Amino acid sequence: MNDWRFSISFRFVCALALAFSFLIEKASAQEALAEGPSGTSPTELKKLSLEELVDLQVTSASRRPENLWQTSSAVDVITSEDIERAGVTNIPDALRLGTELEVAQLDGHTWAISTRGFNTTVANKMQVLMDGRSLYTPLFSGVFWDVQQTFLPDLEQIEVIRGPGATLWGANAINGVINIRTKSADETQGFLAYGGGGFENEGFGGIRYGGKIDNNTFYRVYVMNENGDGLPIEGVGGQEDDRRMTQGGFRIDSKDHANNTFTFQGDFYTGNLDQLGMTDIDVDGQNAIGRWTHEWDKETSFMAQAYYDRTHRFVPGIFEEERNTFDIEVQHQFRYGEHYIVYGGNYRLSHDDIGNLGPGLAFIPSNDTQHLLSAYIQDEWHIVPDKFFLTAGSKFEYNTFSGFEVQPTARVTWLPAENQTVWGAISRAVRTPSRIDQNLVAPNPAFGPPLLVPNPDFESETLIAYELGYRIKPTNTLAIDIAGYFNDYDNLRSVEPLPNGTFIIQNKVVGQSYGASISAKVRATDWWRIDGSVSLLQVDIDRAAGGHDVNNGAGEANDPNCMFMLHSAMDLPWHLQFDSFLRFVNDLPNPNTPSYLTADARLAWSPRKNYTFAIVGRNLFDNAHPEFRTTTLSREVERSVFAIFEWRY
Amino acid sequence: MALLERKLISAVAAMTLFTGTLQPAPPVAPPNEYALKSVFLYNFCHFIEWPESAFNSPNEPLIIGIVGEDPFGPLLKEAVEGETYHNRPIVIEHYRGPRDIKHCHLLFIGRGEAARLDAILEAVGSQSVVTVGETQDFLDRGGMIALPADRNRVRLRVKPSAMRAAKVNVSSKLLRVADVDS
Repeated sequence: MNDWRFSISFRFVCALALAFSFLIEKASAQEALAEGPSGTSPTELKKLSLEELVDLQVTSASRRPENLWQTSSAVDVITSEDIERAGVTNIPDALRLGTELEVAQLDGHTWAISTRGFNTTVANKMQVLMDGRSLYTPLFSGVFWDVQQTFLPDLEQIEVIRGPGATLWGANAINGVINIRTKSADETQGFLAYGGGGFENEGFGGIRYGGKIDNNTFYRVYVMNENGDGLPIEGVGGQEDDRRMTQGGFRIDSKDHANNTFTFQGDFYTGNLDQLGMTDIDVDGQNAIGRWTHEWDKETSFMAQAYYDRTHRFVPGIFEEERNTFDIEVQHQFRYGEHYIVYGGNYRLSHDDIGNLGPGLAFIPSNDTQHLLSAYIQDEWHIVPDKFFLTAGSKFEYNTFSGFEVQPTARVTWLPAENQTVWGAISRAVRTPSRIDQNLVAPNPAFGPPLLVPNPDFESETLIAYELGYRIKPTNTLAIDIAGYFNDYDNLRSVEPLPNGTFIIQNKVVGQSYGASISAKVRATDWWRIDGSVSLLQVDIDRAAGGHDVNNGAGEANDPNCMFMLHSAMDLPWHLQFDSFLRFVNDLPNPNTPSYLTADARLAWSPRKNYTFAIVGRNLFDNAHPEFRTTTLSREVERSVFAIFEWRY
Repeated sequence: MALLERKLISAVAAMTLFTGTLQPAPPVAPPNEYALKSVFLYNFCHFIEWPESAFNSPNEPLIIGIVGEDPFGPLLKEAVEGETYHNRPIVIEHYRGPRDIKHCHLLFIGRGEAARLDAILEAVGSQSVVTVGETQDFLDRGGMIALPADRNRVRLRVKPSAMRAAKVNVSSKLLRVADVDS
């Protein structure tokens, strides 16, 4: 069986190699045509009949802000089209499409997600937002990925910034920012229903209706259900880790005659997550956000928003958490000569109520209110317009855990030619403490001092990041993006032994990481495009002087030193689309997890404009493989094959 | 089970190999959305008849007005340059807002102007001006031709009753390929 599996993988690689040689030939032929960057020119199009014109497909690139190409940070956008063509049914799987994003699934409802290293199940160095609402929790500075979902056909894009984005996005945007945005209600009018299921996929479905209240005001409502299949235990089988989620929500967008945009949206979810040999975890949450934007012109705008977010998680025998968050934010941007200035402020109150239910660990105090107050300003100075930009700015922040923090950045962009961008940046960012760092206690099962003593003096982890990047479009059909970095971390979390045999969490680990990524997009022909990325990473973590971390620094990161992804997207005749993906993740050191190479594929058929039928296969190269082992039991991600039907009216 | 898996994977591998040599030939490379829309505007000048009263003089050109932001860049100019409507040259004019709209024959109202649409249509009034918009609800709000983007296609929707009211004639050839809104 193993030999045979190898031979298939080998054939697949050969097929892709063949495909690549074919593609390079095509790309150079395309170049000879010397088309404008926008594809076929009006002069060419005028030769077509009306019938042909109405049938024509267009590139959807015009929606993407042009200046992404000139950005002085490593940015990647996962579009709604990418997500649809990948046939994914949840956000973590969609994130696998991003360059340099580490995504590993541990069980039916646990993922480890990070970028540029420091990945663990409680990864804590990324800021994650959905439609302006922060998704990371001050419980552990990370994200409960099992409850982050949205009606995927209405998702507009996921913007992924690697490297510190703290100046604009705030504390925790230390290794990167994931910004998930849904479409405006006027773009999601009418009925849309989808559903599917298959082998190793227990089924999912949802329905949305979008309508209008008056000529300027549009709304949509949706409800969806997802039954995530459990993963078998490595070497044992069995599952008991299914995930069942039901979610609903709405969004209203209104634009008036004076360039005001009002958005009001909200979601609710409820679900339960199976646990091996234990009662289910129950989760539920509700949120609502209101936003007002006034735009004078492209360069001058004002935004104010406020949101409320409640989350509740009940983990039987361990803990229960209810968290209520209120947030208010304002932002103003304007142009002064060649200075493009943005500044703003934000206040967030997060109140939690933690029930310590088991003997193993406790948060003390069990109720707490965290305040976060921040202000930022950034100036993008076009010293030589269209040629050389200097960006400088800083965030100033006060938080309950660590007090006052400053997070500045300086960035340069140089555009040596129209098709090239060179950029560099130096930034400071912090990962502010959270409840788990300062308030976690492990009581002593026998009489005596707790095994883990809380440390209210735990400080922020700090990062000084040095980044360099280069983008080039050598031809109209090829775009290449290269980014490298050196990250210098200090005050990282450590578990220190105390003389009396107990432990305390402190900041006595230091680390450096360096790495690079290259991604390329090739439009080989009008019906075939290929994109891919390779990323390399080295993380060195060590005890600081005087530190005695019991994990020797290894507890905070478990990263592959190499990953790559290759995607081929084909528009075929007879209204068919065929997409195939090849994904590789090298082995993880601690606990050791073997490397894997796998493939996903999707074949979709849209006989009419308003419905699509797709067959999706994921993790096709083997029956099952672990993506992220733990020191206790590990589970394996299985091959799955399922169908998706989507209908629009 | 193993046999089924084996078949499944070989099918996927075979598909990849197979599609690598497939060569369907769609007519042209996908154009930019506005390259296509500019050619639609050019075509409208051929498939729509304006009354003589819409022109102030026998030599007056056919005027395409763009209100607000111009999303076309050089594309529309390329599409209509050197073209004529009944021996009248076709020219492009730009208007900043509803109050700046002057005499024209075809008026393009971009996505960004949705908020001011009522004011724009009011400014046009009952003149023989063909209004072309981009939003889904453009026809419901009183527009004549809508070119909304729908995924990666541009739809063509026409409301002949509104065009008749403005005394412009639309060719049946155009109506045949359009979604007609009665």
